Amino acid sequence: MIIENLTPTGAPALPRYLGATRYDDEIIGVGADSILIIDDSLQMITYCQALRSGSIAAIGIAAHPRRANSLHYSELLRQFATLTRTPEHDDLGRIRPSIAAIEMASEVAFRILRTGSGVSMPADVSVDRDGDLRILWEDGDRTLELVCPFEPARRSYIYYSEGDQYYVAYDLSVYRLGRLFGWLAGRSSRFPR
Amino acid sequence: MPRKDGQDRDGLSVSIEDEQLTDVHKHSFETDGHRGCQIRVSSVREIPPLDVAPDPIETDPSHALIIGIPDRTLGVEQLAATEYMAQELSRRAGPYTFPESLPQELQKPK
Repeated sequence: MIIENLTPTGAPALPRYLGATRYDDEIIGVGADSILIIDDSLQMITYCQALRSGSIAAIGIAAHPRRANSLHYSELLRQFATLTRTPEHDDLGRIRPSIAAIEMASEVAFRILRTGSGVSMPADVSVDRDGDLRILWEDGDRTLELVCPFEPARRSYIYYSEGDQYYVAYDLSVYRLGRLFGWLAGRSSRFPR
Repeated sequence: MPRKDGQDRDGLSVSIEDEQLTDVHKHSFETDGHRGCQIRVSSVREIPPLDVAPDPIETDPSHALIIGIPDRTLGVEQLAATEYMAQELSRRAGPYTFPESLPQELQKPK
């Protein structure tokens, strides 16, 4: 990503910038007046959040089908937003995830985008009876499910499996996610541990 | 998935198909936004150590429990095993279509 500061950064004002990814996707940010980054006209990330998390400083989106990646990412965010408008409960339990779960899932989805490993559309985005947000990806016999608990105090994790091998990982770093999504896409035959 | 709060610690509630209890089961399983699923007992037993045990209750004499699911709150291994079993159960399950209800006089009393 190339980001050009148009005005000097001065606390507490947010820096204005205009930039593009190295694939020429347009990115516009206008600092404190508007806190949105617009990417592909679809992907909206809160500028403040991006600044705080450091995610706009050094994004290296690798050379996989990046437009599809960002569209899938945008679609995921849209599905999360839809879930926030569902009723809180039904007769079997929770059906609306917590804001904390959605924020965590959005953060992890962005990390997945950053891995450049290719974000496929999930097979399912759902909420279990405890209100945990579950995002499932499948590729043949390989499955990978991100679980973001309703309670902010509980850790999110990724469950993945192939045949009768399965594992739960709490490490949701960009590096680990890159390895897992690479494996899911078939770029590694070895079951990751 | 068994719930986190321990409500399902004894097992996951299911009902054994019984045409005389069609109305009872339809009322329980076909609610707004939900529909019943079916799975064979033999398919449950394909996932050791899972099994199905009868657990009749007043409102549903054919109530049973899928037993053998680990307590996922105990640690990461139990959590992973629970996720695996839930995944395998869902792979073996399919949507259930309730048959026409029996005439009232042939149904078991509620």
